[in-house]
This record gives sequence, C-alpha cells and structure tokens, in this order.
Amino acid sequence: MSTFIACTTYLAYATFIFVGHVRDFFAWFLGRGRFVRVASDFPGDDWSRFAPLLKSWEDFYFRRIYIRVQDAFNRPIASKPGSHIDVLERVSDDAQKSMHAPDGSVCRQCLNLGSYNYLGFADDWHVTCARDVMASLQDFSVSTSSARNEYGTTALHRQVETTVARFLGKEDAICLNMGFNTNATTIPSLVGRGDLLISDELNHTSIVNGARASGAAIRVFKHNSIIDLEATLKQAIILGRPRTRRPWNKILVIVEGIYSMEGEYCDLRGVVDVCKKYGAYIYLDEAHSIGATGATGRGCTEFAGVDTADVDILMGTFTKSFGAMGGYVAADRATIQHLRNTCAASSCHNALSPVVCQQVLTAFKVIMGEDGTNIGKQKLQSLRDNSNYFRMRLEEMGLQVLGQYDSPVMPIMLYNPCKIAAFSRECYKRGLAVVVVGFPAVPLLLSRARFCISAGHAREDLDRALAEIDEIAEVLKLRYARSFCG
Amino acid sequence: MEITTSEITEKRTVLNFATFDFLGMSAALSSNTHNPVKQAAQEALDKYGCGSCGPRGFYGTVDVHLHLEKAFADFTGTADSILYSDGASTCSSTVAAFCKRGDLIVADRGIYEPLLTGVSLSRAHVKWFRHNDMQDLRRVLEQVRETDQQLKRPQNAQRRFLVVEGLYKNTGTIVPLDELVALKHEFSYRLILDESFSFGVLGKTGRGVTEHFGKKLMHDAEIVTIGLENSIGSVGGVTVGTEEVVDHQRLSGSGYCFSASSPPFSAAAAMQALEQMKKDPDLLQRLHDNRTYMYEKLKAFCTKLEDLLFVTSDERSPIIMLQVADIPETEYLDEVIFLREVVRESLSRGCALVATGRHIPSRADPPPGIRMVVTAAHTFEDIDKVLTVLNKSVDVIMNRFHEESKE
Repeated sequence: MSTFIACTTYLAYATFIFVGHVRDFFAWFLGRGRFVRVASDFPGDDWSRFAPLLKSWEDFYFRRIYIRVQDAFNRPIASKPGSHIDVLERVSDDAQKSMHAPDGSVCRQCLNLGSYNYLGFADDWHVTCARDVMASLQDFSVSTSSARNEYGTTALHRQVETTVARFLGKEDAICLNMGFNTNATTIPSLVGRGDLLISDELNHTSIVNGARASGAAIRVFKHNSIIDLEATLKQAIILGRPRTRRPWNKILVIVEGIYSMEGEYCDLRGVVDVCKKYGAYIYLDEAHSIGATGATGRGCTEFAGVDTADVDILMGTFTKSFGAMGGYVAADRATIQHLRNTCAASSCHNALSPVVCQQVLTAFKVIMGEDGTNIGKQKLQSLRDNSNYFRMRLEEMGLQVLGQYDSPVMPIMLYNPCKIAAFSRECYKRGLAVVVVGFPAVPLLLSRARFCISAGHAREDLDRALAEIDEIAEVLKLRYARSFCG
Repeated sequence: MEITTSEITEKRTVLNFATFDFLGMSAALSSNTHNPVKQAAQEALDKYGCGSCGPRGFYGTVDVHLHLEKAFADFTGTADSILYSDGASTCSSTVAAFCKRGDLIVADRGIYEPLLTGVSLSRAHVKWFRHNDMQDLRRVLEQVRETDQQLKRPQNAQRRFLVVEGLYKNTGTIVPLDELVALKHEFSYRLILDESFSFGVLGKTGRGVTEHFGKKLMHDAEIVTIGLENSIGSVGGVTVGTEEVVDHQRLSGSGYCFSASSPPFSAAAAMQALEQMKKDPDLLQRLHDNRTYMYEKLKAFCTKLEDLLFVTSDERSPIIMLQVADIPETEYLDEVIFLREVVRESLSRGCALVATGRHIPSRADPPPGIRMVVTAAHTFEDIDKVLTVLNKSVDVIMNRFHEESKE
C-alpha cells in the first residue's frame, strides 16, 4: 500500500473522529441530538450507581462512524439467497440511527454477489434438494431438543457423518449444530494447558474464541508465511513452555483452506511439510473451500494436492457450498470418539436439525454424482469458470483484486472508509448486492468489497455486473492496481 | 409422546422422557398430519430453501428473522431482541459481548456449560457463590463492597454483572429471583439471566421465571437470553433487552456477527411455535398438570425405594433430577455406573431417560443423577409407566450389584 493511500485513509478517519467529537460537544452543550441519552426509568441507566454498559470508544465508533455507513450492512432479503435476491428497501426516520423495513416495504431485485451460495444450491433447490428435504420433515421434527450424546442423534446425523468421512477419506467424522461453535468447542477439547496452538494471524474469530477458551498457549504466525511458521515452530520447540522450559505436550497448527476476507488459498503443501518436519499436528478449517474447490469439490487438500491423511483434523461447515447449516470435524476414529465424549457441542448443546442433515446429505449426493446425474460436476465446473472469468475481468479493469485464481472469493481493495458506503450504495442503485467490509472485521486501513461467485450465476449476469463495476470504478477511483490515486 | 431411536439395524419406539421439548412442539410423529409448526417450516422451506448462505450482515438477514425478533420483543415486553442461530452460543456470545477485562462477574456455581464458556471467554474477574444460596451471594457482594471502601473506589467505577439461570438445566432448580433481584438493586449489579429452560415453562403465560416472580424485564433483569431449542422446539436463541443491549450485540456478539444466520425455516417454525403458545394456554396447563402429577407420584415412588433415590429438583420444574442418597447401603456403589445401568435397563424396557454425571467431572458437568423431563405431550399413563419401569430397573440393577459384590 502506498503512503499516499495510507495518509488519505487516516485523514478520512481523523475527519470522522474530529467531526464526531465536535458533534458530541454540541450535543452535550445544547442538550439536543440523536444520541443524547433520554432519561429512562430503568435502574440500570442510573449512572451514579452503575458504570455505563458500553465503554466510550466502542460506543463512539458505533455512533459516529459505523452509523454513517450502516445502510450498507444487514440488508434484509425476502427470497432464497440465490443468484438473484429480493432486497427489502429500508427507511430511517432518525438520520440512519436505526433502519427498518416497514411491513409491506418493496423489494429491489438484485444480482447477488454476496452470499456464500458457491454451488448454487439455493438457485435450483426445488430441483435438486426439495423432495428429500421435505420428506425428512415428515419423518423428523424441526429440532431434536436434545444433545447429540443424549437423544439428539438421528439416523440422518450418522449418515451425514459417514458421508463426510467417506468424502474426505477419513475414518470418522462428527457433525455439530453451528459452524462457529464447531471451532469454538472442538479446539478446547483437543488442546489444553501445556499444549501449544500456532495460528495464522488472519484466522476466523471462531478459531480465536476456541483457542482462547482452550487454555493452551497461543502463538501467531504471519499470514500464509511458511517461513514465519517454521521460525515460530522452531523457536517454540527450542524454548519449550514459558518459565518451566518443559517441552510442549503437543503442538497444533491451525490454518484455513480459503481465508474468507482475502480470497486466498492456504499454502497447504508448505504447512504440511513444515509440520511433518517438526512433528506438529494440523487443523485445517475448510469453511469456504469444502465442496467448492478442487476438481471434485474435496476442498483445499485436493486443490493443493495434499493427501487428506497428512492433515490430522479437517474441519468445515455446511453453511456455504451445501446451502445448509452446521459444521463437521473429520479425523481418525479415536479423535472423533474423544470429541463425541468431551466436546461441549456434542455433550451439552442442541443437535443439528434433522432437516438440515437431510439437506447436507442431498447436497453431498449431488456433488459426488451419486444422484445419477452430472449436475454436481457441472456446478463445480461452472463455479470455477465463473470465478476465473470474473477475476480476470476485474484485474483487467485495474482493480486491486486479492486472492488467487480458482478461488470463488474475490475481495477488491477500497481502502478509504468513504468508499465503503459509496461503493455499496452505487452497486445497490444499479441492482448489485455486494458485501463491503470495514473495521473491525478487517484492519482499519484495509477496507474492501468482496464478491462471492456462485455456480448459479449466468455469464450474462456477470457481464452486466462487470460493466456496472467498471463504471463505478471510474466514478470512485478504484483502479489502485494502475495508480496509487486509483 | 414418543420418539423413535434408530440404530442402523434396529428401530424401536419408546416413551420419551429425555428431550427438552416441554410443550411438545416437535413431538408429532409422521402419523399426526396436522402440525402447524411443521407446516410453517414447510412453507418457509418452499419459499426460502434450506440454508441462509451468509451471516446476518451480508445478505443473511431474511424477513422471517426480523419478524421473529419483533415477535419475541413484543411477547416479552422488551424494546428489541436479537436472534442467534444456536442456543448455546446465544448465552456465551451475550455474556462475552458485555463483560470485558476489568469487569466483575458474580456467578452461580450451578450454571451450565454455555454460560460458563461465556464467563470464561469474557476475561472478566469472576467470583462465585454457592448454587442458589442467597446468603452466600450476599457475603460475596459485601466482600466486594468492602474492597470498594478500602480502595475508595466508587460503585460505578466497574461494570458488574450477576449471571444466573432461571431454571437450572443441570439441577432442575429454580433461582430465588425475589431475593436475587432485591440484592441486585441493593448492590447495583446488572443481571444476566438465562431463560432457556424456564421460558415457556414457568409463569402464568409461559414468559418465564421473571413472570413467575412478577419481575419486569429491563428493570429487574437487564439482559435475558432465551434458547429456542426447548419449549419452542426449534433451533437458535434470542437475547432480549433494551435497544442498547440488543444493538451492541449486533456488532460484538461474536456468534451473531461471525456466523451464518439461522435457516429461515427454523425461524419460521419458532415463530409458529410462539403463536401456538400464545393461542393455546391449554398447553401450559397440561404441562403443569403433568408436572404436579409426576411429583405426587414421585413421593410415593421414593418411599417405596426406601429413599435410595431422592428428588433434588424443584417441585415447579419439569426437569426432574433423581440423585442417589447418601445412605450406608449405597456406599459400595459406583454411582455413575449404577445410574447408567439403570437408564440402560429402562431403555430396554421402553422408557428413554438420561443419566447425568461423569467419573471425572469438569466444572460444567451436572452431578450424577437421573434426569426426566415431563412435557405437555405426556399423559398420566405415560408418567405411571415411566415410574413403574424405573422402579423395576432400579430393582434389577440393585440385585445385580448385590450379587456382584457377594461374589
């Protein structure tokens, strides 16, 4: 990033903060303003006895920066998350302090470049999945109201697990209710005090939560840098545990298959080599890559040409490519048995809905071609074609596109906070639903927009989107790959 | 009410006293053609497909989510509510969103796993009080006040929270909310209350433990989490409270912000279940009748067993915990194994119960016991049957243990 971009971006934030403080001052001075606290009769609002519920900076960022752009986020939809979605129009009566979609508000049909509908199961749901899923609702209830270890396991759960294990070539697998919770609860039951976790600096919050809850020591290495990983590992092994200098019980390296905010594949080959050399275990989070990448949809391992036997623990979610919900962990039998017994999501939390299990099973059947058609194959092929086409055209436009070819996630850099809202609004005006990301999801300086390409996108749709984006890039000066001024 | 337990090879229908489906929302079998909850789920599936394919911030907000949030806020009489896609992460994310390093949490020792995770994730300073013991809570609060005075620290220098459950999942006891709220006001703490198991169960209209004790949300309990997996019979959870409480979580509730939103069909099912609950006060009445009947029968049952097993749960709770008494006869027993054997025997005799407890318990594990859940879908005959089966199973296992110890 050039100094010029950094300076202008800082300047933009400084302006926001300055104006925010000025407004806060006048609001305090005049006693009027959107955010002036109205006296309420809740005892918890009596600040002479209670500390404020929200600390000032969190609050300040929310009030004075986030709210300015909040129309770009949380847009409600009223349709399937397929390639075209109906976005509900929202209104605000208090200068964007709150936004709501009143009853009977109109929809705007947009081309969906935001949902994780990689294989397009939301588009042809009625053709591919509806029959099985509807039938499962007849046989099973919406929820089992019980934990997996008690009475929350149905035949469908077992089928999902054996299918996942077979798909990935692992001995066994376990499926849990929520992708986020899969990370947050399995990591603590795999490692604990006396163990070391080495985690990529851009790993997802769920991994961070799990790592924190585990009580293990945590080291972070530079994003996707095998050299830094090796240095970290070497140093950790040489130094041992802090103070006592005893060796670590075990070392677990956690990486993601595709980093969702970078669109970038993990250098799995390198990670595997280094971990083998130093005897560390590998935990691979394939939330975005499973089902969507690799020649047959087997994710990052297949893409990188790594045998799944070399990755000790494979984790992934069903939310994205499978159009369902929940997550799985696949590993050898002993590990999965251990997880079944000790992992909180399996022993205490509610099980995955049987209906969702059926959706996963059906999606697997299609992907593996076991439904007797080649729909799955076509989906994978068109996802790859669409992504590579879209990425190529974006690069031709001179936008700064992150990530690699063959990845369906492609962020483009916006940098300036003002461009977050501007880009999103311009796209929305032209009927494109895009995701823009700012602080705190990404570092302050690195705001971006992200496109998620789907197998359900038609080439004409993509062409239309690209033409619009080209125009917007001209207006907003986004061609950072060509010149530092955009 | 019945569930089918299916191994890969055999399938058997047994009486279900194991799942937390208090109002029987998901109880209907395929033979029951008209189940409004399922129908709502079906319609939503037809319209929205299965998954939502994205987090709430990025086009994962579907209009049914908004309707459900509104319905919960209206029903509980709060300003707003926020929907999570998993009941457990509702509690843990909510606690972690508000309590930060430097804050103080005073928590009950009996809280269940997700709350405990939230408490430990928050990195706040934690003090514990004995389960449901208000004297002990007072002691802890006074200790804090003393420290305040010594340090000349004003009361409002630190955010302080009490963390309790309405109806404790692990023990089936009910929080003495009257005294707790009085203490909370006296010492100026905010209350984080988990109503996952009490919602739809306690109170005249099922609004939970706050209604049961005549307390007002937002006044007496600032942050309330409700799981949709028990009475409501769907998947997910909501947190209700003031606008400030809810809006803050939309950016810092990690389970909300960084996870895919709940599938539209489960939100639609939850919505319909809430409607059913409002429309049909009979459901709640049936649950109460069954519960009363169960506890009556249990009294006779425990006497018959010569007090080998005794009831430790609250008489108002449909979660029933039976624990092994501390009598000389049971000294040689390995409690955990004994209870597991009893439950296995009961299952083979056609009743599904749950044995809790582990040999090496962690903080979050419930004490060893047998858990039964009475629901509105049971009949008095079902209750009679489960107690007969349990009685028989205990006898069989006791005899077996006796013989083994003789050998």
